Amino acid sequence: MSEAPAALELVDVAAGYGAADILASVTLRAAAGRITTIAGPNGAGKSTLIKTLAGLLRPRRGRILVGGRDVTALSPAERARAGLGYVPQERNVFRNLTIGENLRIGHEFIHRRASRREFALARARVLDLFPDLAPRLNGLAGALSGGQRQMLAMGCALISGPSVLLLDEPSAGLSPRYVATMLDAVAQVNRSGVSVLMIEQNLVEAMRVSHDAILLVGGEIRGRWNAAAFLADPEVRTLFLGGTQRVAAPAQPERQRDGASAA
Amino acid sequence: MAQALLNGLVSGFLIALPAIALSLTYGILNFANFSIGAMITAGAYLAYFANATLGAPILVAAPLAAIGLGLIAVGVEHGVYRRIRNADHITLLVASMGVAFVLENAIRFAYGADVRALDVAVARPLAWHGLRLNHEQLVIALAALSAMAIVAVVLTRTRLGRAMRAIADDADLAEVRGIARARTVDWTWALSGALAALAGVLIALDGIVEPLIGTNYLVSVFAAAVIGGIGNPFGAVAGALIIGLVEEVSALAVSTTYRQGVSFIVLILVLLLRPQGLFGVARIRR
Amino acid sequence: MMGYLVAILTFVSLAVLLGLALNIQWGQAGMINFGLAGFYGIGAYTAAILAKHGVDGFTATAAAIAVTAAFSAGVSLATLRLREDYLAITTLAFSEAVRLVLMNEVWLTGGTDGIRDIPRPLVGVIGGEHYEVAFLVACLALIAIVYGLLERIVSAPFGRALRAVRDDDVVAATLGKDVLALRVKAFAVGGAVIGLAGALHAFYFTYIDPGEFAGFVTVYAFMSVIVGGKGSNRGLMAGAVTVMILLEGTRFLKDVVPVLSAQQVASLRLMLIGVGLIAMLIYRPQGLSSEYRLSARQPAGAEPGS
Ligand SMILES: Nc1ncnc2c1ncn2[C@@H]1O[C@H](COP(=O)(O)OP(=O)(O)OP(=O)(O)O)[C@@H](O)[C@H]1O
Ligand SMILES: [Mg+2]
Repeated sequence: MSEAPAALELVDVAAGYGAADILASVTLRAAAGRITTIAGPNGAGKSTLIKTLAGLLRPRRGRILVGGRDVTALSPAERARAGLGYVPQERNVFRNLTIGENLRIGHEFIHRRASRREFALARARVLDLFPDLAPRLNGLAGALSGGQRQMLAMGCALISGPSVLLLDEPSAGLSPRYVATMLDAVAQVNRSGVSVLMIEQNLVEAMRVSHDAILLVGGEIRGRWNAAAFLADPEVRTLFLGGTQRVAAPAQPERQRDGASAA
Repeated sequence: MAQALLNGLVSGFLIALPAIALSLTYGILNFANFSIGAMITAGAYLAYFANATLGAPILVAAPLAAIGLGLIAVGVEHGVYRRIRNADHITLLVASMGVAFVLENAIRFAYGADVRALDVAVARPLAWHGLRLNHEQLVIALAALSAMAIVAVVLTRTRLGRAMRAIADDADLAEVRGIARARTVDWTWALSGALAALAGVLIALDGIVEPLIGTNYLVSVFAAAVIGGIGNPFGAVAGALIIGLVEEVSALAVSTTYRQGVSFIVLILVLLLRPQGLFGVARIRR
Repeated sequence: MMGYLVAILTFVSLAVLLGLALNIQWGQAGMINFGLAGFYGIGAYTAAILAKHGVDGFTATAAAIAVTAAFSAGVSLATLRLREDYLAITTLAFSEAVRLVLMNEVWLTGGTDGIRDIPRPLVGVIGGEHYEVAFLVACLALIAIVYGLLERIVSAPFGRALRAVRDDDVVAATLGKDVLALRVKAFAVGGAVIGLAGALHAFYFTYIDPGEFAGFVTVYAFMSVIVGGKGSNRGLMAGAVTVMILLEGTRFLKDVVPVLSAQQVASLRLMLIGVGLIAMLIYRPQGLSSEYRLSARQPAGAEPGS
């Protein structure tokens, strides 16, 4: 398997909360410099997967590599300092802190020696991306609307200039116009060289910007597609448009290897 | 009455220090530190040790006590709390009671139950329009206010303070943002220990050093923290001032021996009517 | 020697009763009582004061039980819907308030001098000679009764509901009125047992003062429960005995290290108890006895740092 270097790699990872494993044995790679989207029904274990990547959940088994480096033993903070950015699905900002403080915290613990100027520049870049935040820097993050909070969370993850970005439903709670804006922002970040692994439910919009798509059902990877082909696949169509019985039906584990070309 | 208000204010400043200490650790570690009373006592004895045994002037002994207790608090964090962090917070509560028990008896072991006094010069009270302000009260007010100002600056203007508030807000997210939790917790204990020690020294200045001085403030400190919305250090200051004033003003009607009883009643009333504190958000059982 | 043994066994009996009480409050219902010493004092003083006023011992004991149970219910009511910390704070503060009343209301409690010459029940019938032994037998019988009652409660729907509330976040989050009442009852039942122990304390020593109802009583009770394994009544018996052996056994310290004063030896022993309690929490949180507990219900591995 001598493909493009992987930004992220999971090898035979099992993880869960209580007695049972939510992820049974997940092996996947997200190619560097691309946007990989994970899709799957509610409760499939998508957030669990991404939390395991971020380090909030210790895997019971398996290895996790970021840019070829084994980070399995690292704490979430150490992974963040190693260049892994993460936007959780819920509780993704410090509600009792101001927006300005949230942004600052996003930067200062990763670039401990950064000067004021470097921080100001980083912040200016984020505020360019999300201009709605600019006039409210002194307001409490808890007072933001759900969508604005989503933007702030994204900004906090971006401000430190991560090399790999994990996004758990970045467009959740956004109005249709903002869904496009948010995903465009993701694409823009990606063009600047950041590899992105994201979970999305707005599949049509997500596929517009993604390169690769992975389907996760019941804690198992059901296959991976070239983004352009994903929505056309009959299995995907039944899963997202049809009934739930078919979800349980066995599927060929490896439907397709990495798409040869991407848009 | 005006005199009672003045006394209440000073006493509120005093209660504020351990109340802040309690709120800091509660916010960040999510458990109520029941050893706060014993920590106050330990601070007073550390100062006594430096002052009376080693002969250091009180201005040197007080910071020494603060540093010493800060170190002890960090040691306890490493030796005890960190090892049971994965247990439920009830276990941590019980552990903190055990820590209090050990501290108190270590003090009794070293110094017995005798009443002692710090070696400080007694000055005449200041008088102003019929109001009297003891020299000790002035020192208490100034020292407590400076300590509170320092805590406020640390919390709102420094990286450490932002890390502490971030962890209190959402510990997981804080880690994701690159904040080293263990180190921040250590600093929180150090700060908490220093505040408790300072309170112990100030109480001892005003009176005597004996094994129960911290315990005698325990109810007031908890009541202050709960009024302020436990876990909220700024609320704790407001709560402490309220408790200080209520205790002093009630002393006009009830015997002063019942200070803590008054605080207990205030505590019950707050829990019944506004458990989230006057400024905080309730932590309902989850 | 015989007298010493009887005395020790009586102390152990009182410790077992307190432990049983804490075991239903904390072990079964998950409600922390840091003010156990205060409730114990209420029981002892109620019995003592009534007995001094000519009330017979049994009525005085019944009154002690009722009064302590009532106070327990009242205190638990104040924090019913709140997280456990608040009950811990409230009970501790309550116990401080009790201590103040005991020390300052001289007309009622004798202040720091305490109450002397508390008349013992049935002393005329049994006679002074065998009274201690008879008292011990009575204590053991009472333990058997309390134990039986508590075991029944534990296995009854009441007990199951209590554990469900303790362990299940979802149930706890949607506390209905019935469930709230359940918790008050559990705390009151524990209080009743503490009241009984308090009355026995008063009658056994015939002299009480506020110093006997200080924090160390609470610490012993917690130690007994932790050593015995939280929630297990049978383990608790072993726990209380272990704690008492630790306490008594460490008396020899004085002979080993003669430079220490009696006061220092006493402090050192209490320190050892505290260190033991912490060590248990760290290394053997399930207690020394490995009795069957409903631990499978608790999720094994939570997220790190949560
Ligand atoms: N903190 C937790 N503790 C215990 N179980 C959890 C926890 N978080 C999630 N689960 C369980 O793990 C399973 C997968 O949850 P997860 O959040 O990973 O799903 P998801 O694919 O992200 O779903 P959604 O699309 O709704 O966000 C679910 O059955 C859920 O109940
Ligand atoms: Mg999810």
